[in-house]
Amino acid sequence: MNGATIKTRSSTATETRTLASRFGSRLFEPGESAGRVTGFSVGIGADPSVGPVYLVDSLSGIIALIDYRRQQHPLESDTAEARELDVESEVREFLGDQWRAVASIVSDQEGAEWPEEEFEMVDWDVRIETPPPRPSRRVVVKFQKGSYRPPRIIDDPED
Amino acid sequence: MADVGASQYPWYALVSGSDLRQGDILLGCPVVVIPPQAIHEPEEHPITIDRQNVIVMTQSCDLAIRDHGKCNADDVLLASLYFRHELKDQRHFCKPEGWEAARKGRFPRYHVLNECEIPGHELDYMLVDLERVFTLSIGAVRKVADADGKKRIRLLPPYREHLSQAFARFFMRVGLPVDIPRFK
Repeated sequence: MNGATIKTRSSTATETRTLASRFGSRLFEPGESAGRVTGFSVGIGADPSVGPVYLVDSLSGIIALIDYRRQQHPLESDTAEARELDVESEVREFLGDQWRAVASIVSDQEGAEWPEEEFEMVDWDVRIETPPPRPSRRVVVKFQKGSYRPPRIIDDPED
Repeated sequence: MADVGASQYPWYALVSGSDLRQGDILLGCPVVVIPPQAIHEPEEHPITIDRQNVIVMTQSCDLAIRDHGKCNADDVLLASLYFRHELKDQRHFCKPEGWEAARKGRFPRYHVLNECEIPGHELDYMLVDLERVFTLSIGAVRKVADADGKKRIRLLPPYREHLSQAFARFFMRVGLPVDIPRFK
């Protein structure tokens, strides 16, 4: 399997799903192509009644979590009971008392009409949550009122 | 060809002294954090002095000392930088894919700098945080730069202009309240 496109699905137009991690943690519209993968399998949590359903990119080891309401962070691949999925397969989540498809994996031919860059979007919200610690010290400073002198506007002699 | 390019267009040079340029990397630069209560209550307050790794963002022409003995800039704009090995626990930067996305410019807040291989001054790949910026007075930054006569690393053209362009692109971003719907 050289490549495929993951396309989100939903039964109602108002529902949205997110494919976290691999494709960024943003919401996807039902039916929207969420990204291309080059090889993947699907894993199901140890207890399907409570566990999330997620995709495993078998090349990078990154998992795209489908049920973002339970967990937003990517899971480790070694927690997955993974099995290979074929193109045209569906990814499902356990909702209420039934499984429901939330994403489908369509053949490479359909995805091939889209350039790779189409799915590699700019993400303005990425941030380092906890910056690396730096040495610091505290000193006590006496602040005085009225000690601020506004800067003077001067002409640049070289202009 | 790649080796020829690397030797003709090096990323970094070693400099020393108080002469500052855009792209100068200052390790352990003091950054003052003033507590909010100190703003309107003139009395003694504890302030925190962090030691940040920073890169000078102010344009070199504003830092150049003119004939009258001063430069145009009173304050120097500095941006935080992190080394790759420091971000091993970070969600987006713990794997090569995140760094690759940053390298391609898909995370506009961050700009990737090459590793420095100058013998004795090796540095890991760096990530400049274009939102985490500080200012210090020009005098203070010159003192930091000239500390103990140590050599420091300077990002060279055109890589520093590339960084400057990334900062401009990030700073001038506009978020539309009502965007055009996605074409399907």
